[in-house]
Order: sequence, then structure tokens, then C-alpha cells
Amino acid sequence: VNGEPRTPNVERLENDTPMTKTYVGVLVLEVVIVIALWWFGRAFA
Amino acid sequence: VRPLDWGVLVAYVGWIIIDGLRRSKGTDKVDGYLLANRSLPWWAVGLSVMATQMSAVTIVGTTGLAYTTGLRFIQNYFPLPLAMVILSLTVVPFFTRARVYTAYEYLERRFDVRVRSLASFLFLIGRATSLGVTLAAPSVVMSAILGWSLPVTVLVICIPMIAYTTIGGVQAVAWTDVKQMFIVVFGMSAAVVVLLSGILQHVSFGEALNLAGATGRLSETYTVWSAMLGGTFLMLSYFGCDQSQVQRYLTAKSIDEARSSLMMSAWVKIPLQLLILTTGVLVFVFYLFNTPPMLFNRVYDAQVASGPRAAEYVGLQQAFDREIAARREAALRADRDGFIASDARVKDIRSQASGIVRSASGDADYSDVNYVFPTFITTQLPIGLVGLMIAAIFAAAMSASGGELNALATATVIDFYKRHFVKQATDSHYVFVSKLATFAWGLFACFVAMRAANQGSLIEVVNRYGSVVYGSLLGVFILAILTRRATARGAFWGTIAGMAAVLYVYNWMPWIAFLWHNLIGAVVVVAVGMAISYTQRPDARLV
Repeated sequence: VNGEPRTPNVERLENDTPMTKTYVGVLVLEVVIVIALWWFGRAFA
Repeated sequence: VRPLDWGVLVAYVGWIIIDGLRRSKGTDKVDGYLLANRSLPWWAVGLSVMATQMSAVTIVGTTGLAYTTGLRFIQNYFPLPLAMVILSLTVVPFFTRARVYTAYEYLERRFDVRVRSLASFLFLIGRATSLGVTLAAPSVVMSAILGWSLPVTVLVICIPMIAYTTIGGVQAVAWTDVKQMFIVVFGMSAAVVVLLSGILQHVSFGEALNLAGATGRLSETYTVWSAMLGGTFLMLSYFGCDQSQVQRYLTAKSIDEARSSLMMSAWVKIPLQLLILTTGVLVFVFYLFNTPPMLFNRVYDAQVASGPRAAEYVGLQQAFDREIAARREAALRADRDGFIASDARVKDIRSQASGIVRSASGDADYSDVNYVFPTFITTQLPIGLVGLMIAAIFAAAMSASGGELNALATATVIDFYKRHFVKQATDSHYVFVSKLATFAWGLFACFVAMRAANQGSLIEVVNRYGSVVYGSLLGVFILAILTRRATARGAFWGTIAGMAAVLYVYNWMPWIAFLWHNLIGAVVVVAVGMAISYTQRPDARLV
């Protein structure tokens, strides 16, 4: 407000980038693991 | 356990204490001591989050569980990635931007001091007693395995952990957690290599999988949907409302880094847990070709073998030896039906032997599961690796409890001492009081651990308390973060109603599994909290 620069620490703290791709990747990996476990169990039952 | 193994263990414990002392630099201010000046990289925070969640019981208990029942336990971790995504989108930016020291501090900004103090108090009571249990469970196992007295085992875990946590604060906790995660992963991987080399001397890898699969250890029924719904609420309340976890990601450099630390768990936790469970299944296959003890707790085994039911026990031991030989023959002949039948008889004999131990020792809660992996470590691993694996188990006990101890001290000082008693003092005063609080909670945890170890009922009370409280804590944070209409009075009485509802369900509706208690608690808090809030004028700040 008074023209003073914000400290680098505060700027760093405010870093807020969307991580949609990461979220989707995590959930896809989980689905893959669940399906793989299910298949693995059937294959060796 | 040979001198080299003791050397490895002593060197490791010495290293974490010395490094903890080194990490105390830059912790002379409250921000440094309690939040590491919000300067930690995402990967260190991520490993610390995982280390705090992974107790020693996770290593010895889940490997033992996989030895007896297979991979089924993995489904308890299925909700974790989804919970991490939800938390990254909701509480992480709120807590980081609010620049709070504790999750409960945020509740005062949103509601009032009464709600903050109630939530923090509930956390303190639950976490303080569960910390004792976190220390007691591995101490009981390791004292039986190593032949140490229980107080000595508790102290071997507690003294280094209290020392580095008290002196170095959250920085020491986080960097020790990093080391401990590496030790655990390296130790488990080395154990897998030893197991595979032992197994492959007798059968191929494919045949080993067939043997594990024939006994149902790879093909348990997964109840994914119920685990996902109930488990997601459990994970949300643990990672989003429990200071022992929230404080880990409050030390991250930024919102992005805090999110990345949680995403690390989301990526890695299920594969890591699969590694641990697979180790347990491999221990089962290993013991198909190497004679296992009938019961893995050798102290009870010796006690019963020389007690009044010795004749009965010796008879079982002889039957067990015959059946183990028959099972091995069937496995080597690839006689699937004979192998399955023989394995069922081995299971039955072990169950009878456990029953004798329970009645002869008076330990009604005795379960052989927790002794399987430590016995394998001390009797089958090569010299040096034994010390490393014992260090890994002690490391897991210390890393889970160090984070909790640090969080207890933070909530005590920030939510009570500074908020209600000494509001204006120097940074060095609050750091000194934080160290004092860490030390005092550490002593309390040691005391509880020594008491809880011999009292199954106390452990049950602590677990019951956790299930009563955590759903309500989640509910009050949902009211705080996701609604604008909720008022302080609604949040306060909603929290009380949530706990009362779960207590009722726990006592009078025992058929409802504990996994659902968090969901029930959270729903009641939100419903009652909103109902009361609508009888009041909305909070002017939020309209």
C-alpha cells in the first residue's frame, strides 16, 4: 500500500499454482494400482 | 544379535542425537523452533509427513498381518491420495496464508477463543495418551525380542527422541524423519533381497507367487467403496485437523511446497505400504522352506513350555513340526490341494498354541502377529543388517512420536500458555517454555508407555477416545473453512454434539465399524452446528 516491497519470504509463502495435472495423475495412479492388485489377486488365486 | 549389530544400532542413535543438536542452530526464535522459519523444502516435509504417520507398529504389525492374512490391509491406504488432493485444495492454502502455528489458532480467527481452546484441548488429551501407546506397542515387542526389560526398551526409544525434539525443535524432527525414512526403506528393501535369495533357492519366483496365492494371501476381497468413504474421512481428520500432521506442512516454504509435500504421500504411500506388506507375504513363503517357530514370541513360548500346560504344548509342537514338514513337501511337489490343506492345519495348530499362551500367561490380548517380522530379522538376516533393521524399527517409533511430541508442545504453548497466561513475552521466553513443554510431554509419554504396555484396556480407551474426537474436529474445520454462515456458538455446541453422537454409536451400536465414526462425528457437527447457527444472526465479518 505504501509502496514498500513485500519481503521475498511473504511472496514465496503466497505461491499458489494450480496443480490440477498432479491431482489427476495421483488419482489415475491409484486407480491403476487398485486394478493391478485386483488382477494380480485373480491371476494367482 | 551380535556386537556389529549393536554397533550399527548405537551408531545410528548417536548420529540422530548429534544431528539433532546441530539442527538446533537458528531455533532461538519461536518461528524457528516451532516452524523452522517456514523454510523446509517440499521433499523433506513430505518425508516427515510419512514418517510421522508410519509408526514402528506399521512395520512389525503390518508385516505380521501380511504373513497371516496377505495383502488385504493395503485397502486401508486407498483413501489417502484422494484425502491429500482434497486437503491440498482446501486446508493447505487456508493454514499457510493465515500464518498460524497451530490448526486450532485458525478456529479463533474464524469463530472465537472458546472453539479454539476446545479443539486444541481435545487434541492435547487424545494425542498425549496415544503418544504413550505409540511408544508402548513397539516397546513390548522389542523387549520380548531383544530380552530387555520393558522400562529399558521404552527409555532406549524415548531418551534420544526427547533429546533431539527438545533441543532442535521442529527442524530436528523433520530432518531426523528424513533420515529415518531412508533407513526404513533401505532396511525393508534389503530384507526383501534376503527373502528372495532364500526363496529362490527352493522355487522360482512364479511358483512362490502361486504358493502365496493358493493360501489367499494375494487375492483378498477388497471392499474398495466402503473403505474409500469411511477411510477418506479418517484421513481428512488425521492429516487436516491433527496438529502432529498440520505442523509438518506448516514448515514448508510456500503453499506450493506444502501441497507438493502432501502430494509426495499421495504418490508414494501406497507403493511403500505395498513394499511392507509384500515383505510379510515373502516371510510367509520363506518359512515354507525354513522351519518357523510355532509361536514367534519366544518369551511366552519358553514360559508355556515349562508351565503347567507344558505336556499339551509339547504335543502341539510335535504336531506342528510334522505338519510343517508335510507342507514343505507339498509345496516342493507343487501339490496344490495338499499344500492348502496342510497350511490350514498349521494355522489351526498356531491358533491353539496362541490360545494356550493367552490362558497360561493371563495376556488375553496376546497376538502373535507383531512378533513375526522381528523374529525373522533377528534369526535370519545377515550380521550388520540385523542391527540396521532393529535401528529401522526404533527409528520408526522415534519418528512417529517425535512429530507428535513437537505438536503437543506447540499446541500447549501457542493455544494455552501464550493465549491465556503470558500474552506478551520475549521470543526466547516462549522458546524456553516450548522446550520445557516438549520435555514435560516426553516424560508424560514415557510414563504412559510403561503403564499402557501391561494394560490392554488402557490402549482400548485411548483408541476409543481417538475415534470419538477426530470426526468432531473434522466437522468443526468443515464449518470453519467451507461455510460462511456457521457461527461460533454453532461450532462449539456442534462439536460437543458430534462427540456425544459418536460416543452413543460406540457404546450402543457396536455393529458400526470404527471407520464410520469419523464420518458420523463430522456429519453431526456440521448438521447441529449449522442448525444452531441459523437460529443466530450471521457473523458480521463474513456477511
